[in-house]
Amino acid sequence: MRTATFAVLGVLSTTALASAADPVAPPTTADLDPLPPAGIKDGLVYLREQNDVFRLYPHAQVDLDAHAFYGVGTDTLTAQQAGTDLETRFFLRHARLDLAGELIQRIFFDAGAEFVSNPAIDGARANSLDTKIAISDAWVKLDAGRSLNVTLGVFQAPFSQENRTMAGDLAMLERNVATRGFITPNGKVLGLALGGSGQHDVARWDLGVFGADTTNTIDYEPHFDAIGRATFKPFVNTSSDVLRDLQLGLSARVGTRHPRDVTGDAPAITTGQGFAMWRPTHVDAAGQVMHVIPSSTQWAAGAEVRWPFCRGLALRGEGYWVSRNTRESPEGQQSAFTSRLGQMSGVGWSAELSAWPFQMANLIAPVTPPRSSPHADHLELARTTFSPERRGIEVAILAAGINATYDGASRGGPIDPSVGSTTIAIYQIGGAFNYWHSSHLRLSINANAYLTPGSGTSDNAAIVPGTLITTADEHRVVEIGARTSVMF
Amino acid sequence: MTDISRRELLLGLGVTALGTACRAALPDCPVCTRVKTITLDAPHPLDNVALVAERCQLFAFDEIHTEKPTVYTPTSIEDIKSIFREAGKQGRRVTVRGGGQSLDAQSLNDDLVMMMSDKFSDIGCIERDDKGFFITTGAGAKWWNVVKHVAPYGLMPPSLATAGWATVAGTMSADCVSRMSPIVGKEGQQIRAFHIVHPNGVDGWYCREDKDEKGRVFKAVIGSFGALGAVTQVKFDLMVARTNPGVFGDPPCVFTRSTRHGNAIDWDTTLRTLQSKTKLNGDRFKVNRAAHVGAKLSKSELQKKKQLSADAEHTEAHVADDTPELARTPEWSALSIVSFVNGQSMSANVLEQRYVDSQPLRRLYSDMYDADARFPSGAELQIPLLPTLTELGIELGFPEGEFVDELLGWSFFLHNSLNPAKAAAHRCGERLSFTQQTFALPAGGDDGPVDTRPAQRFIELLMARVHEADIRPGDIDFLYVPGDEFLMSGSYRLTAFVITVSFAEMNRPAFTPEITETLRALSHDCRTLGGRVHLVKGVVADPADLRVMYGDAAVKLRDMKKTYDPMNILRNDFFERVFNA
Repeated sequence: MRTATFAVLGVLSTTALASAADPVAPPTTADLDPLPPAGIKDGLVYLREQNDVFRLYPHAQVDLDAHAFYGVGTDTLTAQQAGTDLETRFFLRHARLDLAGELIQRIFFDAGAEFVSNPAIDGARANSLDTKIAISDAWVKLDAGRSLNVTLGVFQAPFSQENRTMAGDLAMLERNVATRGFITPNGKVLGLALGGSGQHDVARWDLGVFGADTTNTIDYEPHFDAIGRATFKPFVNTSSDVLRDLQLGLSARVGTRHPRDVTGDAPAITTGQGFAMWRPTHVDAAGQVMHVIPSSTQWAAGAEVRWPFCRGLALRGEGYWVSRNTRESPEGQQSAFTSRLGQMSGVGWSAELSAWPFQMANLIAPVTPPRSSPHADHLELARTTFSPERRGIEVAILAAGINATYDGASRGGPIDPSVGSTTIAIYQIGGAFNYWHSSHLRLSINANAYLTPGSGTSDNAAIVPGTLITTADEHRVVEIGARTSVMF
Repeated sequence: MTDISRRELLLGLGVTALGTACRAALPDCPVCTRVKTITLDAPHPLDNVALVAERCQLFAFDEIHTEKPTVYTPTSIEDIKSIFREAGKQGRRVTVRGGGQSLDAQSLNDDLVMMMSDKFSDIGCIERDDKGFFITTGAGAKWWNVVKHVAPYGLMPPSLATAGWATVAGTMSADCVSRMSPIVGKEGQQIRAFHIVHPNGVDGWYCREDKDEKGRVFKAVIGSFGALGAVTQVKFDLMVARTNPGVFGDPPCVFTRSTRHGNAIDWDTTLRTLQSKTKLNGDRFKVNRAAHVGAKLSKSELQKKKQLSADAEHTEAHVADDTPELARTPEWSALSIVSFVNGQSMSANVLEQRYVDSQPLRRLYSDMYDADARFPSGAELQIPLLPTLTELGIELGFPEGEFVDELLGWSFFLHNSLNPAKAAAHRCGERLSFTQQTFALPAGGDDGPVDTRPAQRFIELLMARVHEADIRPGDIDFLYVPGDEFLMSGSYRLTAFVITVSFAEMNRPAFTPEITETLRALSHDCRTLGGRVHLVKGVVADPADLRVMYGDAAVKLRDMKKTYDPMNILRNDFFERVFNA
């Protein structure tokens, strides 16, 4: 090959010799037209001022879902009993409009609304019957360079890999049960964060202080949290194809909840289709409805790994220890009266293997790796290299779990004799099949089995639909979901 | 040989005294590490050459390119001839090396290197004729010393590289482009004459006015990186830099007007402004220089001067009354845009600079033009380590405003910041590698309308590529440079926006693949946009692209080498790599 190259060059050289004339500059063969004021590139629609004083990136997403539930009780429980409609049904899961943009190429922003926000899936409430209009993003970022940026507003908390990956980039339709229900419920926070990275993301860090979050997607309750995440790619500058993109990460958060400010329920643990397997309410021995409310110190810390070890094949996993102090108050007296002080603590974990078979077989150019941040990257309009469109089939298998305890009176107050178990054990085993026609159209099917061994007994406080039927000895629910996503 | 003796005599009689006075007026060059030179054993000398041969490890200024040749340091023209003669007989390759300030392998060779820096470094007396002031120096005279010699007389070399230890013949053989080049042309245009020893044994003077074969050789030697012989002396123009030129006194200072362009730069307007100011000031320079020497102006020159005066009055009318006197004079010696990557974008400062009479300094905030300042060298060290910190520092430290700085600090600002940074790195056992690559993008004809589209597209591609590769260039400089007539020049008959991109790395045996691939891709972009990669600095480009840019010129140079270097003795790593010799 090398010899052939030199031979060709030799011929070229000889040709040049033969035709040596007065030296002239090379002819212009490139396109010199100005970059267009509007268009689409790398899947992003843009409108721009000619000098990029501002750019707008309007984007929208519509998801039409089909949900089905299988397991004891799924065909007998009413929506009010289950907290979600267990009938097989089609419905609009997402209708989202966003306007992102840039000002003077230094200030980035994104503001958007979700018109059918589901408090049980998008938030962490036990009831998924009513959808709401909610803020999906509302942030401004000042970019001072690769190593320093400041973000202010409502955005995805810098905690956990799964939480920081845009939902649309996940192989599964929803974030896994551990992340969504336990590690970082809802995931969006209001505050300010500093962030930055080293070359090729050899290190990336985000650290922020936050003053509010919500479990129902719309009502932000004031508190104080410090949240940080750091990721490392120790082999990014090596020649090893297997290890180069290995990413390790750590996240931690600590904060407090004051009874004066926080009266909303603690996060429920819900399935991807909205059934609450652990609910922050219960009826005590006196027949009162008691609400479990975050109170005092809350903290969590853990580690993550993401390893795209082969073309189109990636393994990711993470595990976190979570500790949340709580208080219990009777319904209607959440801000005035505390019956007992307790704590929820335990481990949330997940592992996922995803593959793009056509890319692995070199039949399709490799897809752009999912962004590790929900923040829109700056779009370079000049065409330099071919950017393959996201296309092909993606399959994934997932395992996730929560192994926690909730003791409502561990820190003070009388023990509620009606409480049967303090253990919460939930496992999710799932699979996904996605067909990406482009980055604008995705067809997906998910199947997830949620297992709650010992549920309905003193061994496990988690529930499945079968648990709500007193005669059943059932510890699982299976959900099949399908989605058609159209987005730009 | 005779010329050298005559000049040495003159120096001995009178100019030495003036030189002593100059040294009193200007500080010595700050500590300069130059480039690491490690003496090795086992030289491979030429037979029948009675000169000491050493084997050394020589580095290019980028501290990436390196070779371990046998080194000769000739002390006379006869020595040079004997080296050429014996090298030809013995089939050896020779490269001429000056100050070792080349950013690529232009002065490296793994066989024989002829060092010109020590024995050919005399600086003659300042002379004046009907074309203006001029001076003759040895090939190895360092620019720092030349400036130190002529500045107290209110004179400066018209175009001056920022490397103080670069030699007169070294920068001439590269036809260097500088901040002043937009006004006064590239360095080749200030060369009046030079003396050269060809490998075929012929030596002689070549002058700017020479025609035919000698004229072609004159234009080919400038910018051909020592491919046609070893230059021993250079005679070049000096320009007037303050009032009372030629009278010993205080050296001039440098006035800078810095106009800030934040993010989202309107490059079309900015480049057009650079072009129009450059053309206007270039014309003024020509007219005023003639006036300084009392030359009789031609009819067309008189007409042009009249028009320029009218323009000047028009400009003055729009200057506010409280504008300092310095800012009112609309004539500049150097015009450039210095740009930096900030976040996802670029910011830029249009720098209009000129020499002014000695006066109290109002330094640029970052002390970038202070020869003794430590901050700029610290920043150079940080570029490869913490680019964001440097970018923030530049954002704050390179503001808009008007400043007056000392001459040597301004003239050799890169020398003053990079060499201490390199020295600091060496003391820590580290190595700071620094490279620049320069691209000439067509800007329309000299007399036709300016075309900023190729430069704008190049900027867009540059930003896209550096973001894609996740690399942060140090600074990006823009000049508008008229076309010239020097064979291997990047702007040979090409009026161009000249864009220079800098990168720094720490402790690398080679620049990272991201940097080299980005530069290679940009070179290809430059070709498709109708431009050329300058051969003056680092060159990373596909041979095919370089052939399109320089193929015909290289063939012409090769034809000349058949006459003046028939044994193809003079070779260097750079040409062999770039042109696949």
